[in-house]
Amino acid sequence: MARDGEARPSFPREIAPNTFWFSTCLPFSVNGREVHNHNSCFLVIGRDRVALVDTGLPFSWDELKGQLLDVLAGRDIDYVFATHPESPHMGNAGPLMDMFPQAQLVGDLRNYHLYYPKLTHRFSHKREGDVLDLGDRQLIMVPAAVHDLKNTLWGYDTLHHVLFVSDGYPYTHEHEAGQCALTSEELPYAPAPEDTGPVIEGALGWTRHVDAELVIADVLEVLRRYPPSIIAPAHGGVVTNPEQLTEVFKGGLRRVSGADA
Amino acid sequence: MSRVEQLSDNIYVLSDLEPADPARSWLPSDTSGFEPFNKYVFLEDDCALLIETGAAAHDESIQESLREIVKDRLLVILPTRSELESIGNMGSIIDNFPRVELITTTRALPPLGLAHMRPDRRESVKARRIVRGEKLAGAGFPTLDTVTPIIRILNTIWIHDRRSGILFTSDTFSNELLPDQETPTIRRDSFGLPDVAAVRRSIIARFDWVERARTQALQRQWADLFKRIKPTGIAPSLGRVTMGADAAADVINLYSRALFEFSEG
Ligand SMILES: [Zn+2]
Ligand SMILES: [Zn+2]
Repeated sequence: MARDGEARPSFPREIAPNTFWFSTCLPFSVNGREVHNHNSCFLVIGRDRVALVDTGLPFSWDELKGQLLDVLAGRDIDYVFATHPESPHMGNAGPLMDMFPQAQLVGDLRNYHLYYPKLTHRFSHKREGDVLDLGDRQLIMVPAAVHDLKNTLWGYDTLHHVLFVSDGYPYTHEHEAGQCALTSEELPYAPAPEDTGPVIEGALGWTRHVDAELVIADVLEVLRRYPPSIIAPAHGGVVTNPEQLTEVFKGGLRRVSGADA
Repeated sequence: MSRVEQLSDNIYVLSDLEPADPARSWLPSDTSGFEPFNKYVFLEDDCALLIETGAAAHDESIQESLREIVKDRLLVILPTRSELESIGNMGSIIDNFPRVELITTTRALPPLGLAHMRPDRRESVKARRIVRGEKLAGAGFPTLDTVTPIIRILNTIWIHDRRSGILFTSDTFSNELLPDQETPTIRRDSFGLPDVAAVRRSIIARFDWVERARTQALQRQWADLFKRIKPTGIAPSLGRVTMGADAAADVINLYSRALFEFSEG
């Protein structure tokens, strides 16, 4: 856990070798208490190729663009992997594809011809199990055990075992300077099931109508097939203790399931 | 130009048709026909509400049709959710219409942060969030109320017009396609409605969670809503629009059976 007085990390942050975390934190209030929620994307740099997992928000494009160029240090992004077609996840796909004219847009791209009609020749449609070969590491397309829109994919980095879970494993953190770029183990308190509430009840509102145990079984199956050392959610801090945070996520799902039955 | 049909004296639907594509994520693979992507324009004397901005592929036709209907009124944009059929042309409409405002249902995201637009527009256009249940009187539309949707994926609102009785339902009630491009988007009777099994298949193709849902609470909320509101029209953002109280009641009944009473057995 981070101690007072220590220099707090900031974005972009290297969460595993050649794996960088970018995020825009947005404040909002939950029962009168101000909390923060991440909108993150991740750069996965391989020996031969580079993938960006999710694209961040249009709102913070100017800032993200500068950070990306710094980290890339002259290299190009080869794959823009939008986990699903929603603003925090693919909102910067247009300018990214402009900036990296050789890049392919990858993911479950059903419907995307309606969203990016001029980029269809650069689409690379992916399905569960497909692999992006980055040279010394692969990014595997993983079924999104928990999702809002149906055409969502998660990703798994074979080298450092980072599981990119998009809307999965969400949790808010306190609106206090210095907490935004902290991992789950560095926060001054352990995330709790209640902290998953704002995202689960919003983007994953359906979870209140489905037996949590069914959803949890799907999550556990993904963890079994793609065992993570690090879990990288779009709307929560990076998770360096997957077992503990899986319990938190399970608790969050159980908390809302059947809440208004 | 989008196809323009009139729902009432001051409400228009702008439809752009796409052939049923088995690869569309929300359509069952055996779907045929044409899917209307609907945008609604609700006119008052001085202002116009645009419900949904449409998919980017339809940008030009939408803007051309909008200009003809909206004329020099203030244009207020209201996407019902942050999916790309709702916000796809938000940036370009904001850039191109001189008098424009934005209302969104986002919680943490700044409304103008959802899409790319010219920096001067991001700084000058008036934008705010509304919450479900809020009325739109303050935005210049005294007869419009927001309604909490019963079935949804993303944060979504429905809108009810107390004057005409029309309920705008975003991505729910969106499951009937047109057999051909000549068929009007608006149906005015119940003739030839799809059967319950087809509607259920189609609901699950979009709302995949419904297949595993415990529906008692949803059924109760559904019944409460439609006891309170008796729509004279059902206006989804995709698929056919239904006008007329009897036809609307039949459609609501059809969806109710598909959602809550249907079993494969
Ligand atoms: Zn998300
Ligand atoms: Zn923060």
